[in-house]
Amino acid sequence: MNIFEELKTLYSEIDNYYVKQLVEARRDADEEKENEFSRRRELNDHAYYLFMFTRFEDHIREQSSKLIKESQDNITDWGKRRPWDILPTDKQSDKLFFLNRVSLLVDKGSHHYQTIKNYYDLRNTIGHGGIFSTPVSIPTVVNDFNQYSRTLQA
Amino acid sequence: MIDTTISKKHLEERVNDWEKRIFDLYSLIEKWLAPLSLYKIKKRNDVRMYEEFMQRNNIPERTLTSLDIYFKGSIVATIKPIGLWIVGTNGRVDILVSQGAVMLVDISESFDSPIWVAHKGPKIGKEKEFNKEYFFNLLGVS
Repeated sequence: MNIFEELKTLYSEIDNYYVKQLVEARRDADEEKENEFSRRRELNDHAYYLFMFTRFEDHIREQSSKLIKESQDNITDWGKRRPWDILPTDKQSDKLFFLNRVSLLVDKGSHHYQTIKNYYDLRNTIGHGGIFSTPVSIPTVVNDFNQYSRTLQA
Repeated sequence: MIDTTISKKHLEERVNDWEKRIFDLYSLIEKWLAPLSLYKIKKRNDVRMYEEFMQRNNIPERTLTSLDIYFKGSIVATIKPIGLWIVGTNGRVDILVSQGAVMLVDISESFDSPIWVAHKGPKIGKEKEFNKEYFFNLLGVS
């Protein structure tokens, strides 16, 4: 089980507990409790989304840095190597913006790039105090992050 | 931020399309349950829709419908729209049952006919097609 699937299991355990409370509230016509647990589900979605995004971001940093390092080491023609020489090899470096790292690994004009950009925007919306009612589909996130972690390689 | 008149119209059409897809989904479920006399359905207009795109583009909020399914007088499932603008999907509707939520996700493109797939945690794996057999299995209809 990889990290996204492991997190999804933990996420589901919490979500299922909240849903159980919601179902009881609905049966009891307890609107206040229903709203409370609906809100908790939203926040749980956001919390696990941010956690998953950090793992995905780490993958992008790791693979983009590996590509930069390999290009600097293996391209002998300076004319072709020079754009690589100015890029940072340290995966922790913030001199290379996240989406620029992504564009080293996937065509910037592709729908895959656009999807990752949308996930990045969502991360910023949630992480920087945007509108907290923005919905997320964690199963979709897990599928997408799993797929991109397999296909976006140096 | 999308702020042109055409884009606002487009967004309003997306909301209208979302309402229609929810209505059609409920109609399908009603049709499946109609022959089963012990099951009853009750709709409530109690789901507020006011997503980020709507707020940013001055599109008025909407009230969507949820659907309760009763078996012998007790609620056994509640179906609620969760959101339209969700990354990687064309909308999410949840079926809430006592064991947890089944998340129905529409994987179609905008304005295409819906393709509802079901995710049920914590199981890992590919999503399942949402059809009558899946739904009856969820409700325990033999």
